[in-house]
Amino acid sequence: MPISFSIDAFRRVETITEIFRTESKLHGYTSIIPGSVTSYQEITSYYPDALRRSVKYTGPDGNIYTVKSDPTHFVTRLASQNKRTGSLVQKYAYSTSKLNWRTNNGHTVENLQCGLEVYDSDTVLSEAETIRVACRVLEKSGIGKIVIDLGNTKFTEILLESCMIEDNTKMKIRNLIDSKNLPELQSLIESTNMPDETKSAFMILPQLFGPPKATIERAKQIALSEAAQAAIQRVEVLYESLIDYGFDKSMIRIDFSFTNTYSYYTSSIYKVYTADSGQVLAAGGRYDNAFGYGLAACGIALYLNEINEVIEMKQLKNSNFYTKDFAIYYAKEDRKNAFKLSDLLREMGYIVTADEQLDFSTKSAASDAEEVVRISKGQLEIMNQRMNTFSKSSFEQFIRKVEDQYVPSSIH
Amino acid sequence: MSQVQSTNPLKIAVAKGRVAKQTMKALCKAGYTLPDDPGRSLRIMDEDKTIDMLFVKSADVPTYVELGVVDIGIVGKDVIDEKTYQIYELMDLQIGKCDLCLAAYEEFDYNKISFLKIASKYPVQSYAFLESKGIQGQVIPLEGSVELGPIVGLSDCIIDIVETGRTLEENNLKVIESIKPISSRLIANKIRYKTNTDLILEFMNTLKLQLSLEV
Repeated sequence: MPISFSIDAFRRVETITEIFRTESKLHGYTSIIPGSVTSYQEITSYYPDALRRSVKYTGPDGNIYTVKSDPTHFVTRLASQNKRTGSLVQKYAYSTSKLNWRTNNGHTVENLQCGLEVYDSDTVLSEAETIRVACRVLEKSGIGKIVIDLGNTKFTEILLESCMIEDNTKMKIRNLIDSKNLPELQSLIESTNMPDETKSAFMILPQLFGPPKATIERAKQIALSEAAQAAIQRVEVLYESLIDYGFDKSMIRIDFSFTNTYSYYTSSIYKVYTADSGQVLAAGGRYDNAFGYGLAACGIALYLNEINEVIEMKQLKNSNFYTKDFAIYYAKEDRKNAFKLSDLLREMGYIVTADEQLDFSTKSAASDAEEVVRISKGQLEIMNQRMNTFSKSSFEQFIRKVEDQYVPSSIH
Repeated sequence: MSQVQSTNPLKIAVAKGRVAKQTMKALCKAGYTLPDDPGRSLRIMDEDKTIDMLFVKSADVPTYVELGVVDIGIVGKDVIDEKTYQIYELMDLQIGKCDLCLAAYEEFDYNKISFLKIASKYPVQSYAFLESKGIQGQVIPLEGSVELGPIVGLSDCIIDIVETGRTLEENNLKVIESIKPISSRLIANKIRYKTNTDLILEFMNTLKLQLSLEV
């Protein structure tokens, strides 16, 4: 199933991508285009279950390749090569699409995503920065009521490592904790011979989420080792860093039940969503030594299909969603003036369309321009759709006003 | 930056039919003021406007929950296990109890068949059964009246949920093997569970208490 968007959705996605490019550039991320094809074996040798839903093909050399499966693999390899040149902290931003089999109906779905990745930095601050940039993109795209969930996969992993149980059972426990399925988790752990103290800790894990301070305190009470305490501390520092970035306390939750289903995340894990919707809009975490390249790494991906759906469902109105600055309509005798005006505005950096038609009342013709301008007998009638105002002026007055007052608000 | 608050009623999707009736009965006993019979209404709210219930086809309940149209849902384990949903499965409500069973004619023995044909509304769980038994076979997906499968020679047996066994009996079929017990589960949208935690936990505890009193 290819990307299936309406024109409005494509415009929205383009706008969000532009916001992402601007924000990531402002934070010092280098923009790259990840390659589409990856060696299947190279990924599965580190993460055996990670590519179950990816699209694969056998190449002429007999090897199996995946198509648009994991941009992180490409970026990690790039960062590893760059490290040899002596580069310090490396920050990359990308926009791409991912192909996945949808197991429920057997279709292939293509999902658009933007991502940030930071290499050679093991600090919590790098993680906080990726979350901050992702949230700024969401907010500037018109999404409100943002909630950030922070967790640390080590918390569960340390507990699992302390148990003498089979890998298969560990995976089942991870899945049940992840789905907060208490009845089945209880019956599974009761069937094992782990100590009662560990059993109790596992039963608490799915419920170990909520407001930061209280949840961290509860976690400290069941942390059985120094390593578990260190995992909690990392979450605490990440939370404090986000507060210092200006996030409201109520926007941040802690969830220690996040598990490491594909053995991919090695420590912090985070998810961003809006209280208006039931879908995750951005997610990421720390994946040190990803694919065996030996680099400290963290990142976040913004899911554009889901973000677009939220905006569409909630019919969010946002000033960024004008695709043009000016739509100019003119009568034939004013064509020369209209062309001149259009070029002048374009030279100032505005997006302008010009049509030989005087009736600009039709909504479809003018709905995506911030200002609609009608030129008739040398006079200009201007309708500002954002401000809902109507005015008349001469050619010269209008140019002067544009030079003095306006900044482009459409996609640039 | 904005703060998150929720004052909306708790939105619940419930599988139409027996589960909906049992749920409404339990909620009424727990103090929610709901109509005795919702009739053909697909949506009702309690008098205090604390819960907003949607009555939907059971197979659609997890979809409503996963996409966040509702906060929580009540649906059978058979439906949850048939597809992969990104949801939380919070509680076994111990209502709508039945079993997922392999049923066939009296003389049927799957150990004597080299290639087993199963008619079922549950292809995923049927293939899982074949795999768990190490049997070669094929699942013929049907949407209803699966009992017809063995009767018309479409399949050797069926895999379906069995409550009383009366339908099987009327079609000369019997339960050969009970695969797993089924009951209704309380499921939640992963995000709503976190943004509406107090409301959902309060509802869960109320329902749990009421249902435990009934058992």
